[in-house]
Amino acid sequence: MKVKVDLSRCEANAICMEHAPEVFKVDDDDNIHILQESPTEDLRPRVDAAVRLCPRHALTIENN
Amino acid sequence: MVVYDPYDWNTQENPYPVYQALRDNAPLYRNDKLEFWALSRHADVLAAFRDHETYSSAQGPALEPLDRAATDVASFLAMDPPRHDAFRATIWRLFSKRKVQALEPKIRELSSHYLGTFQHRGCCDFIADFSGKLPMDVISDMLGIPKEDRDTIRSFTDIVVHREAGQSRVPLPSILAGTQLLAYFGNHLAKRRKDPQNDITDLLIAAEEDGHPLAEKDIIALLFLMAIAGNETTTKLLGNALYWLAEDPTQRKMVQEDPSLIPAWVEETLRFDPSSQMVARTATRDVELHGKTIKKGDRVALLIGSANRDERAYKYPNRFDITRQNDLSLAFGHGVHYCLGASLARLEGKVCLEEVMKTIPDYKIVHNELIRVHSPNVRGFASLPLRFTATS
Repeated sequence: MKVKVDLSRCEANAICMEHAPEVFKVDDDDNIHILQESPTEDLRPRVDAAVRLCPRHALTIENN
Repeated sequence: MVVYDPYDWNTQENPYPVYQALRDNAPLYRNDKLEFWALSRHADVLAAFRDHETYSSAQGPALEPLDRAATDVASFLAMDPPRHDAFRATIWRLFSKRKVQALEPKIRELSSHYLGTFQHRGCCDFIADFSGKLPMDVISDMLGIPKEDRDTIRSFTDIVVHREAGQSRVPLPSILAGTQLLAYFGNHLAKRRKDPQNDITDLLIAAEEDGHPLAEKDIIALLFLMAIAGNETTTKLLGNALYWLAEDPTQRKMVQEDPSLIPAWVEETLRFDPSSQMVARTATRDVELHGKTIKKGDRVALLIGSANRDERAYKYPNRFDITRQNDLSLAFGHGVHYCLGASLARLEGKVCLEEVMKTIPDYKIVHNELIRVHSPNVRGFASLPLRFTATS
């Protein structure tokens, strides 16, 4: 799976970081960083939660 | 056959049984008389929020048609991407979760101040004496509205949003107050250009759309939106929180003994009885759903208050339970128009309720003097009388 963020959508709510801090980091300047663009399958449930719960609907998962 | 009339007085007193009937029997509901559709299930409301291309915000967030161009008073709330994104981008950083934390001391100071005006009396009207005032103070500070103007601005904003029971058009007093508010902000803007104060107004003066400074009326609309948007909704949230906690002595005791539960109390209030019950969209194409067809151009109401009580999304949804792990509450909407003030509202909720629980923890609601606000989309109390042990 590949995780993508729409940077024009992200507003640093950091719900993603709450659910999958191994994959998402929001820094002190309210900028998001994808730490693992292709997270391992064991992280799937938490990455799914992050994508679903992002209030701005800024995240997508591409399955390849 | 279920009838949903958002202007009906009884529905406004308690919409939740009607919502249940809608979800069960008419998940895509048509009101021909008032010419709108309504979506009431969590999954459908969420999908509509996410699909901003199909469900446009261009005609504004309220069901009733506006008396002027929606963007003149609602700014980016009445825009669709891509134009919407450029406007929102000028201010979102000021309202980010991290940024608003800096307002905590100010909110606490304001809370103490207002509590100080009545804690010695042993009684108050929580709306008039506290929650009707504080949110406006916070945003006024951010916008740079001088102290001496705040009461006037507050009364204008109150009139702009006020509706009498059954009114389905924007009433004349609201139109007039709106015009006065726009004039005020025009004036405010002119003053700021001559004398910058390093606040939001100055930021907007410096902001650009497509490489050009924002148009005058667009800056004014942004100020108008910020002045109005977070006012009534936050006022009602605070009142609703006090009301629902008082209904359950067990949970009340839990919060008194453990103030770290206050944010969860706020979240559950937002789910259970959100102060913003409904927002409107316009269909940009025909949509087939639940065996019916929404036509291009039709108005569609997204029933947030109903979605948050959908048993398809929540266990025991009609139970107020501050211990539940809240999953995708739609109280602040979702997606492109997700409430920009959500973090500020949550912070105000947390800090104000902390101070209330410290100062008047034994507050009792005077039930026979409660007055509900009657509005098609705002839910809460116009008057919330409390009694409590007086302190100095």
